[in-house]
Amino acid sequence: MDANDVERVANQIAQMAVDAGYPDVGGDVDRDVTEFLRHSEYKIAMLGEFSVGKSSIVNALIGDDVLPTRIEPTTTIVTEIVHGATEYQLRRGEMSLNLTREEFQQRAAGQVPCQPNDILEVRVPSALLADQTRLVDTPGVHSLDDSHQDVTYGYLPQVDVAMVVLDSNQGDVPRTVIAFLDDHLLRSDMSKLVFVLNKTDEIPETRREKLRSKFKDTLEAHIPDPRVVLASALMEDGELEEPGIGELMAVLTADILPARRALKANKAAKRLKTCTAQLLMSLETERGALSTSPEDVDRRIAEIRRARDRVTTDLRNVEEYVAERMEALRSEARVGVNRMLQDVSQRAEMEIRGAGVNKVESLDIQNKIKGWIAQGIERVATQQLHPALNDIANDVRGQIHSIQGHLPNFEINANVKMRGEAILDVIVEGALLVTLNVILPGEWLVAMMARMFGSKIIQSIKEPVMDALKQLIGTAVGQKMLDKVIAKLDRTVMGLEPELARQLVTQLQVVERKMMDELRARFDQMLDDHERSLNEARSERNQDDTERAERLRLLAGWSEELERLLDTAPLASV
Amino acid sequence: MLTCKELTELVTDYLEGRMNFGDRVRFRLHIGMCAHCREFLRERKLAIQTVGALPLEPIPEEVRQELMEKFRDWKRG
Repeated sequence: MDANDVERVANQIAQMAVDAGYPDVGGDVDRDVTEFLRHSEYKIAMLGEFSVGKSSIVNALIGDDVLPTRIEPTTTIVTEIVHGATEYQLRRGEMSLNLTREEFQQRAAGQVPCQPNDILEVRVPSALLADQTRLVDTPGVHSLDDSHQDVTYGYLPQVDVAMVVLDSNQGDVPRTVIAFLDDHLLRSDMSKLVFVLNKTDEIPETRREKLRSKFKDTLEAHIPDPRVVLASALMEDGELEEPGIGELMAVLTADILPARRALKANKAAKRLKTCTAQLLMSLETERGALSTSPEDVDRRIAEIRRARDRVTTDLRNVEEYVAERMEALRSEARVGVNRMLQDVSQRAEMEIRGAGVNKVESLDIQNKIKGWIAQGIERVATQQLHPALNDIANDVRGQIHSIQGHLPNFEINANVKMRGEAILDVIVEGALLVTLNVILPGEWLVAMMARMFGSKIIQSIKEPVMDALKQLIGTAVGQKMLDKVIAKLDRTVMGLEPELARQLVTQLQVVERKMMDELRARFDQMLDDHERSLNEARSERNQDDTERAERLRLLAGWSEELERLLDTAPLASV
Repeated sequence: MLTCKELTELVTDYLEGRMNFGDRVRFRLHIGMCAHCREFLRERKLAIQTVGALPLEPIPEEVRQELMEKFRDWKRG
């Protein structure tokens, strides 16, 4: 499935509405989907140490040497490149400032200082970026300034593809990159990585494949099935030195970008499906009201009101059930956080005992602790909370079906009722998934935690650890002091527990409340729609039965076509 | 799709049953897709119910006179 398939179906729905004499209705569905497709961008980020040739790769990919390639390792600025008429900008929060090419390059090279959250943006005509793709050049990891790392790590959850650029002259994956993978990479980010082995023009052609295997073998010990591509971004007489960036381009255009596009098309198809189901339900409601005789309208309305009471009671029971399960889950989350922090504390102790004062003196240990906590929270969210929430959602879905059994029959015939239930199911499922998504990727939570607690750890452990270790390490007294320092570190890490647990518990409460609100609102709206349509039908009803019969026929035809679309690809498969 | 702003302007028509078929369907389409507007509509209905449940009290003569004066001025002005 691609975006064109989804747009084609959206157009079909628009045309059906035009044929039925209500072009605005179909236009709404069509616009919703096309705007969704237009507004979602892919981000490809370049990561890597300094001097590995990240900027050269970017320049080669877009065919313009816009980025300065000899950057001193002092800049912390992120540069984003998009397709468009040539333009250079500095973005600072909501503000943006137009720059000349020269002014832009001075900032990108760190010759003119920028503020920490500034972003440089370049627009250049580029076939690679034409389909809403944004290329992001980040400052180097493990550069002289440790703050660069935060910029890089903070960026990763937001990107679709991360190209880790490596210098092939190093012979193997550098230790710092491995440490980055081990200590900071989240499972959810693993599939985004492409390792670009740069400067392979400096390696004899016969040795290149061996080198690729070597890098791949090393990486395989840390992430599953790593993608390693060979590249050279060196320009000679206006031409790229062999092997150039052909393989990288091929991987991007034939493999990665199409996969991301398919994912986007899939999301758009889901949205279109919900929209179509919603439209169909609305048409069915109107049909039901139109086919009710004026004498029966009051009886039907009374039925709806009775159903409303029953549904309220039913939902209260669901709420109690959910509250009980969620309370248990919250306790589990607290235990999970405690266990995770104990683990982090132990790992930190081993690090300090193993490598001594140097580990503590750099920001390395603190960055590692941040990464471990982020990874730990991800584990709690994906391994503990996700399956449990899914389980609860499944149970709730079952209970929803039995509530539907309490609803009055609005059907024109039995078939319609069955379809109506299926549609409600789609919507309820969608609502539950939306609420589950609040916690599932957990990326924002992880990023926030890492930022929030990272600085606390730095402040609270740096000074005592540094002072004590510098003076005493290696002596008997030093060992005692080391124990004290480690105890302090342990207290600091474990001191994070209440706040971390509170954050997770709050998230779970949000999920619970959203889910129940959503269910209540959906049922309430559905019953309200029926009642309103019955009243409208009564007031709109004139003596002309032929006109009413004509409208019913039209709605029936329209509904039938929508149902057919819901039952065929691409909507049937999402 | 209607925008959220457009929807807020149509809520009164919807609640008072003054919408034609096409607009009704468009309104429901937006409500079905937008949780914020669903919440907004729910609050609106709740407010109407709550206000509707208040007992009717006679307007004090003084207030009535003052209002009448205001209306006369408004008409003249």
